[in-house]
Amino acid sequence: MIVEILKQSIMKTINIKRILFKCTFGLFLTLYITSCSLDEYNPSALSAENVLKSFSGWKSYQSNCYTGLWGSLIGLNYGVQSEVGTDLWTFSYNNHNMFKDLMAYEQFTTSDGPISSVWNYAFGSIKDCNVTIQLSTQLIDGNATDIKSLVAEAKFLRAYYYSVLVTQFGEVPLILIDDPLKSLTPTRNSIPEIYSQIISDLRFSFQNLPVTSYDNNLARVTKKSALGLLARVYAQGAGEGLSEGSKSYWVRAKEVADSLINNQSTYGATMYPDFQQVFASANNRNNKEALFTAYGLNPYDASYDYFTGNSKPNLYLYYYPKFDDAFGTTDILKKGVNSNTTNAYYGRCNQQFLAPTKYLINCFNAKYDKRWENTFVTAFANYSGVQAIASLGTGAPTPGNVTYSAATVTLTAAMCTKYGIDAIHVGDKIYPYADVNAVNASKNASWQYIPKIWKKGSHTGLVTDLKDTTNANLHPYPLAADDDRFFAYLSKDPLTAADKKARRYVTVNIDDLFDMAADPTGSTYKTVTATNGLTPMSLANLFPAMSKFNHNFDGGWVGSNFQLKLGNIMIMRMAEVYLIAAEATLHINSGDGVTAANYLNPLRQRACRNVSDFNTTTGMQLTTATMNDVFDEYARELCGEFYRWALLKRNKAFETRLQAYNGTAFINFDPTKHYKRPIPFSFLNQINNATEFGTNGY
Amino acid sequence: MKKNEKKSPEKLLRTNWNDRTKRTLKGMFFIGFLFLAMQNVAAQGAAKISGVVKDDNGESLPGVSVIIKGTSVGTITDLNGQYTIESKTKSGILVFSYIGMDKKEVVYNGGGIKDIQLSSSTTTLNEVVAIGYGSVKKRDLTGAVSSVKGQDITLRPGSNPMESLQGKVAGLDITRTSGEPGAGVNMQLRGNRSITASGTPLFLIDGLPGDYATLNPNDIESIEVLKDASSTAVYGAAGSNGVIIITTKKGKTGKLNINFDTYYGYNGWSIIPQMRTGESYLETKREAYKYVWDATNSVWTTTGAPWQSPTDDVTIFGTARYAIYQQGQFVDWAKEFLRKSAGTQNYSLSISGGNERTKGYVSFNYNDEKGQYTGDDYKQYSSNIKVDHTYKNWLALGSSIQASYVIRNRATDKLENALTTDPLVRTHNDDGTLNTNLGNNVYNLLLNYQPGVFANTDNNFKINVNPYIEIKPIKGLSILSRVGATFNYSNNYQFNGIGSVAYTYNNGQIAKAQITQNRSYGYTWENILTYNFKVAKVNDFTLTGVTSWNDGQNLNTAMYQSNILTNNFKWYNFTNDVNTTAYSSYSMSKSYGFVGRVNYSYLGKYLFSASVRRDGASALYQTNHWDNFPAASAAWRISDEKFMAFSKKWLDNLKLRVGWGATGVSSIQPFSSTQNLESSNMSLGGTTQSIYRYSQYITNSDLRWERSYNTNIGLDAMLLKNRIDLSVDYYITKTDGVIYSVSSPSIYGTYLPNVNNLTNLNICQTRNNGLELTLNTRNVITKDFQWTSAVTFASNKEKILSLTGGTNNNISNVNNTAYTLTIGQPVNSFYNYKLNGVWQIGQEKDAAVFGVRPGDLNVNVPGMTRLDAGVYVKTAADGTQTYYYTDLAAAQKYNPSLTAATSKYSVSAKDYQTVGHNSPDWSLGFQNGFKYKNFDLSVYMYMRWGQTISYNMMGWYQPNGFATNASPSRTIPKYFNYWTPTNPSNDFPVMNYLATSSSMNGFTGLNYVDGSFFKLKNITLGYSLPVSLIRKLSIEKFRLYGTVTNLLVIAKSHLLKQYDPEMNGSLSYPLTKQIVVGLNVTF
Repeated sequence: MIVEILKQSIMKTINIKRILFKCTFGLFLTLYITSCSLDEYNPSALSAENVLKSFSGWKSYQSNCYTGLWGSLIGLNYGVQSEVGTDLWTFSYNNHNMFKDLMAYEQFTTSDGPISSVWNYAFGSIKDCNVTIQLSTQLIDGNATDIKSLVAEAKFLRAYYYSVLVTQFGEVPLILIDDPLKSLTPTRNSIPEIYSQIISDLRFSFQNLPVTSYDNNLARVTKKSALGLLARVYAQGAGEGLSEGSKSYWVRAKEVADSLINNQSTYGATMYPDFQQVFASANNRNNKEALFTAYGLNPYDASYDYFTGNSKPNLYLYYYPKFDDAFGTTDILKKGVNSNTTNAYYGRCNQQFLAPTKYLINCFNAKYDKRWENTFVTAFANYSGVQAIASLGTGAPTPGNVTYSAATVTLTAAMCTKYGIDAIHVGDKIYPYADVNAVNASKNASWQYIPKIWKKGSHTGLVTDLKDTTNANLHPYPLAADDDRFFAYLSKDPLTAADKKARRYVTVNIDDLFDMAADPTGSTYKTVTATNGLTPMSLANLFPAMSKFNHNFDGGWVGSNFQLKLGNIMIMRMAEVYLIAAEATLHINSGDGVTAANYLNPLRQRACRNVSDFNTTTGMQLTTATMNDVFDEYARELCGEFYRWALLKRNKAFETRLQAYNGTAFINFDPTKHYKRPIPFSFLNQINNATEFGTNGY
Repeated sequence: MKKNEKKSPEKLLRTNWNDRTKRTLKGMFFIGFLFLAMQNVAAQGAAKISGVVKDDNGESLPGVSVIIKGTSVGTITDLNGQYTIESKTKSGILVFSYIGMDKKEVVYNGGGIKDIQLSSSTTTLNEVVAIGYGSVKKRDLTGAVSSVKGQDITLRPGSNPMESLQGKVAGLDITRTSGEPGAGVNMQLRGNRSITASGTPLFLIDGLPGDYATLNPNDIESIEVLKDASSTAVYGAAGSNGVIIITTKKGKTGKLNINFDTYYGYNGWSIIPQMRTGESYLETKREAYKYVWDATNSVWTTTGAPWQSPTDDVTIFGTARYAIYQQGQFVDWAKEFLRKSAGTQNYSLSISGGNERTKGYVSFNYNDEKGQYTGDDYKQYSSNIKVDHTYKNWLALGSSIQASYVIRNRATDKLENALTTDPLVRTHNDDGTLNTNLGNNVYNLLLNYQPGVFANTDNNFKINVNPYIEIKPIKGLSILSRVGATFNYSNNYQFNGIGSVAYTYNNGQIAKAQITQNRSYGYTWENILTYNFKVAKVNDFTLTGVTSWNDGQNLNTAMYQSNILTNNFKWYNFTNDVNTTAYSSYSMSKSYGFVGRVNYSYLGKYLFSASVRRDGASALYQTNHWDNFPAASAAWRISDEKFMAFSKKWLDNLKLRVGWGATGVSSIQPFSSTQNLESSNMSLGGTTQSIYRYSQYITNSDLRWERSYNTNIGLDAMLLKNRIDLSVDYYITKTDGVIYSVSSPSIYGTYLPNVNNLTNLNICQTRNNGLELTLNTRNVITKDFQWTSAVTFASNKEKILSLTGGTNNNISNVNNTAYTLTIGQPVNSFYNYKLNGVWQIGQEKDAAVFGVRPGDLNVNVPGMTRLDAGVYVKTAADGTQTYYYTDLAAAQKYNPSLTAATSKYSVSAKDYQTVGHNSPDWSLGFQNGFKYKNFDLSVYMYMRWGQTISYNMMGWYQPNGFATNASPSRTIPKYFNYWTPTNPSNDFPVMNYLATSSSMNGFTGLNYVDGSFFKLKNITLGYSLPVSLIRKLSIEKFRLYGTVTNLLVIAKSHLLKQYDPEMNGSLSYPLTKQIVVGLNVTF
């Protein structure tokens, strides 16, 4: 009995042992198997160490340096920040709130959106330049010339980004290497330090950049870019009172400008003989006059979908009035531009923010200077889609599918009364000016609306009556009394009642748009009130529309978003070098007006409506020039082109010029702080020494 | 006898129709007493006892187990509640047990008749409660664990079982913000501790990860919510937001159980704000044009205003719109969009049963819920299969499979946009086609409701397979090895066809389709060793050891097709050409944990538990994968002490619990601890250029686990024979090194233009403390009438104690940009303009100091004090004072040194303040259950108090939305009380055609509203057929019920009218009322 129990218990023990052994073994197995590492497996990650040491990898990385340009820095934010708050632009009717900090220094604080974006865009790409420059010395292969050339591009871009930052913000941190340790207590560098760094980068670029673009890629900068930017940076630095040795930056600026002007062929630089060519559609992608371009997207190329910027530019629409608000959408305006399906000629103009001051308008002597109609649209028209219908039939997309008759307005008595058109025109027709074709470029860019112009006086509505155009935004100037292709006209030259009577279109004298009683400086547009003297009162929404960025050509549209345009935007062009030369000349040795005038004349000459207009009698030819002439010439030539705020800053001209031409901004302008932009709140909130870093006085 | 029994089914077939029901019932019991029967027959005893077992109501109880204590002799009662048992011994103890009833022991001495009455279980102390890697009796719990029974979950019909938990578990905050069928719920346990990590608790179904959303609520046996760290620390990192353990039903030895549950009903009757339309629209429009601001005289005047008299109506409308106005063509967008009632139906069938060795449970569920938008529905098919088999006494194995298939069609749900959109348009053209040109950026969203034009469809297949093997080699020792394998195939198909909204307005009249597929698969492998032993009879030890390995992978693919020629193709005809594109991405995570735990009990009076978990996670930086999470807790059953003897009569239980523990969080994005290089493309000069760029997250090699330390003190009391059952918990949770993705300053570069690089940092410390109370009372218990109540109350205070080492504060939360992180404030705080209201007439001088006028918003500026009319002084943090004024002479009275003619203050984002937090201060659930004879009624009320919501509708107030040619034109809810020179409202600023949201400083502050509310959430009335009646139909339970949900909502704020604040600010898919009728049948 006892034996049996023992036996049993031994068996049991053995069993238990076996089981326990198995269990233990199992547990160990578990531990063994599962003790495989906790390392991550990331198949989409690459090692910087391996990839960026080869020339091809490094070159690929280098392209990032350009990301900050088109669609980021050169877009709405910098577009507004660099131009407004000056003597050129003011609020349109009913928009005295958007950008009021930038436009009129009203309630200007560190939380301004565009300012913060410019800060982020410029600095964002500087890192890529730094990485490119840093890694260039560690490459295991690659041709030395190629490497130098690509490093020169990176240094050029770094210089450009810093030139924007130092102009806008003054003392900023000068970061030249990409340190894995990102200090949260950044310090500012002095303005001379920043300028000398920019200049040293530009000198390197000038020496090492090719005359023609690397890889024949027109986005890439060349020698002339470096020289041009160097002139601009010297001029800007001159405003800070800087000098190199005994030479002031003004002297340097003039030297560099001269060097570029005098050796244009050496550097592949040129100026078009006719101003109309500068913004001609055909010259957008490969602009001979451009020194430095933010290259847009090609909707026909697969690369369209690889856009790396922030957003495609919609800058143009800020400079256009809201036609719907002025005309309504039921009579003479056939295709409301605010509407969902929008307008295939103007795009979607629903912002109405930036209108020219009276000063800017008065800068142009439109009688001789064709820059007026090549810069401002003042005659407004309907468009048809005869080409689109001809090529696609019912497949023509809205809003390209407008028939000729649908685009034609027959004036009724009610319309004539409403718009103050003389009753003799009742029954008259207003025909479309432009006609669009529709081509589907690619799946995401979708439709291109390719414009042609109806010949004046031909009303068949047949494709044969269409002619090609160099620039669809350009309309005949002055608009003939009998032109029946436009429904409204803002006349620069005041028209008399008799002049108006002869015209079947709505006619407004631009002078009548300003409320000069309230603001003699000409920075206030009238409001929509019964007493504004306009018929109807809603015409107070109108103003001349600056069209430089309204790319209206095959490849310039995003047919799925009418607010965005794809054309190249010039960051600097040759004309500016002449202007810098003239400006610098006047700053050196108390100014040489005759020499300065000689720099300005080439710009004025090519702007003449007729070759014979270039003489001193018309005033198109200058014999001597003052600083005011330079300011005016800058305005005529470059208005809107990202320069005016910097120009007033370096000439310390805000106080005087705002007082004279932009009273709206002048009353709030505080010279003790407004010469610099506020340091963005979002940035200050990311660092640990915000108080010490400071806001620039905001 | 065995033979006889075998014959009975044969007999059954031969019996006539009348007898059939009775026989069926016998058949049902057949499996049940297969085993017992054998022993029953073999018994030859000295005593034969028989009798009838009845319940409280005097109804006889079939299926009651009767066992002679200490033997294996037993039987069960028959249909009439009768039993007969023969005992070998003359005397002994009979044990009667039945689910839901208190066990009863009866002493016998010799044979005879013993009729027994069993009463419904009232004590919950002996209920078994699931805890981490094990279970304990409720009486032995040492942590804060709330338990909810399955029947409480099915009380509120719905496809998502978690919705039914709202207000049932003190401390678990549950809200549903969308009325969309299949929409999930938001859950947060005991406040927000983390910033990056989601607040959702860890869900375990029978111990392993599973999908609760598709789980059939009828399959749930119970839900346990582990709230304090001493309970959850065994889950280490995963458990920091609490753990919810769902125990599903399993087959039971004995009778075959068939349940059938169904309901049918309607969703709808949402409360929608009444918008201005018709005359009230006209009135607002006129008011917008009636006044202009005369800046020279600082006065609102009608002089020069565009509207002077009704003859100007045409001017302010514009000719075209005036014509539409005259025709009375106002659109009621809500009516256009929503259907009146949307059907919802649910069918659920479960079958379970088993013998001593093998038990099985199978359920099927079909749920079909229609949404309020046409074409919006949610269908769910799910099944739960469970088999448990005991192969040898020491070896058991089994598996469960939970599978679901969901098809969801989603409609365009933009109700809030539609409501505020211009009502003065024609949705259709004269020819009956939809009007695509509503003008001014107004989209005709009805386009997407045309047949075949638009689709957004999900179909998701999920399956969890959980096999296990359990070995019990010696008494008290169990080794359980189990695997939870999860396979998840989610597909989303979208089609924006010809004529859709996107086609017409955004995509340039190109039809597009896309397929997105997400395959995730992973497994958890756990080995659990449990050893229970006693030392000297009074010391009860349980040791637990666990290894837990998790491996999950995720593969996403997406395909896009554009230029689709006909709507027939939808997503079925991708052409692999230039119009086709595809993407894929991959992520993975692994974690590994070891747990050791000791539970000790001294006579059930002193309870103690201690555990430690070592956890590793792949997402953390390679040198910081591992961390340890200890926990300990103790409980003292005071009522068992001798000195408490005096209270025995009225105090059933009194227990004090104290617990402490650490948990962790490592929930950062996979691949975000190390910066690496990505490959991409860019367009340079109109050509494609391949590029490399650095990934967004900058390496932080110091990143470590975020750790929460929780202390919990709890008291459980049961009084007056379980009439009152009270549980109170107080907790403090401190979380250290909260992980947060900090934006790296852009001066060091950005990831993409204007997109900052990020770094995960352990930057912050948070503290949560709160009080939870659960009170269950049985107010009236009589034979015919019963009234029970349940109250749950939870309050929580949440605070960010520190943020980084620097001066940073008020950081916008990058993970949820609606919120801002501010020291001293709860995690989900709103940081914006605090409004004093609207500047009133008479305050012109004061308003002018801020550059504004009466009718504009009066923004509260921190540190700003009014000294006199038009004179203010602002005191900065460092004490410096700045004067703001428009009248120098007036200001000089306070500071003679002032010289500037005026000094105006510009309100800006610098003046933001914390305007509220989105988490509630407290919430209260109050349930009352009534039973009268066969009727049952349950009324459930819920309150959530103290939370601020950002109500989008407020921001849709756009004064210039009433402008002639506004882009787009707008309307506003009727109850919005806006300011006019004759109506000094403080709710909304001036209605004026020249005023815009951007021209009014502080406008964004309007959105923030007190979202406190009271809700009559649910009323259910049921009727069960009398047992005596249905027994004859071989049915055990037959209950009919009707339920109304969301019957009444009362918001605290007067700014929230016709709105259910539980939606938390959104209105795109309003919450519905629900009315269903249902049926529960148990065979």
